Amino acid sequence: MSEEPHNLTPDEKLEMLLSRRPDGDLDEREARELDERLAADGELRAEAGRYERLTRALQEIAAEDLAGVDYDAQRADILAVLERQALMRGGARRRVALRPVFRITAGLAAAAAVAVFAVSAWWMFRRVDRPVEGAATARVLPANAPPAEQVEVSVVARRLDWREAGLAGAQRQAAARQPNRPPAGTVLVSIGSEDAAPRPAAGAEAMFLEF
Amino acid sequence: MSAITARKARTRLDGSDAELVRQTLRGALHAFDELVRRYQRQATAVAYGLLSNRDDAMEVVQDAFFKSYDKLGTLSKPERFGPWLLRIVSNLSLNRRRSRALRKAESLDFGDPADGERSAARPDPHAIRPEQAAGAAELKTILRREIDALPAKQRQALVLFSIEKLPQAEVAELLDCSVEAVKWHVFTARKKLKDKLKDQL
Repeated sequence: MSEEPHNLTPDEKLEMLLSRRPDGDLDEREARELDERLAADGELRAEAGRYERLTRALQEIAAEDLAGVDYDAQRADILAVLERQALMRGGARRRVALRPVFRITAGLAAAAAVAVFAVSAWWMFRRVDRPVEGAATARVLPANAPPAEQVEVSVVARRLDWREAGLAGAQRQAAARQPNRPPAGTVLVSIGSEDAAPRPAAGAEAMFLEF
Repeated sequence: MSAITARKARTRLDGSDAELVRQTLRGALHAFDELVRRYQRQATAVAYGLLSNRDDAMEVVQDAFFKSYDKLGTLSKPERFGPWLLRIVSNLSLNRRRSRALRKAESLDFGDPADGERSAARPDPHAIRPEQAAGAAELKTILRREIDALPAKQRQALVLFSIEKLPQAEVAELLDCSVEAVKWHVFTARKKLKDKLKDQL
């Protein structure tokens, strides 16, 4: 007999009917036709009897072999282990069920906390000294350079604040002396801070960045 | 627990499998306890049918419940907890059989030759003892041995359908095959058993 399903031979079909009969699995027509054949064939009746006894024995051995199982103890063991696991996980599977009003409150509180954090982070971040990155290139002009309509400037400095972005005192004076000063409104930026930048030597031409 | 709370808890535990699964996922261990109560007998019978060893069956059932508890969140149809659990039991039982067979093979290959003599002296649990050599007892002893010797699919189909009386469609789902294939496997298994036990039936 093949181990895999295949088209049954007439004998196999008949035997399958015999094997299904104890399950009450036959439809009306199958049961009637089989009963007719059983009535006429003693050997077939013996075969049907074997299947019935086999089916009964299958039921009985399962019931007998498991008759002494203590299912309550089995369940208690399973639950005890799961409870221990839950404790060890810190009740990770447990969730707190909140009423709707508490859910809204908890949501608002969470949103407020996020907002406070974001503002604090922004405030702290803007105070951090950081390079200012310009997208353009810098052009260093000599003090007597003719005014240009536009100059691309990029300033990269470790420290850049209002003092440093303005002119150092000595440079401001030098700029005022320039015969061809840039037109009013032009922003001149010197690199370096008022305190830290080396002051131009007397007579030296100051270097300006012109915006 | 007050009487009212206890009554409420009882009412909830009368719910469907799906409801119990949902409660378990919310952390209610008592809901899972109810699922264990509902399915432990069937799970044990299936494991025993596939393993023919009560201790192994009990261990497999425990493991299956632990696994199902851990994976409960992945169960897409909570109302199908029962078949899902039995599939886990069935798979774990087959794994256990494989590892058991492997251990047996290893002990045969590398064991102390004296073990063979000792085991020859030890009674084989499947061997027919003289006091059993009559009637129903003999039939059942041989039946256990022959069920154990069936190919996996036939044994599973036989246990789930003929012994545990699961619907064929459910067995087909568990075995990942068609209903026709289930019918075939059950028939083949029964025919083999009937032929082996011809003298006792």
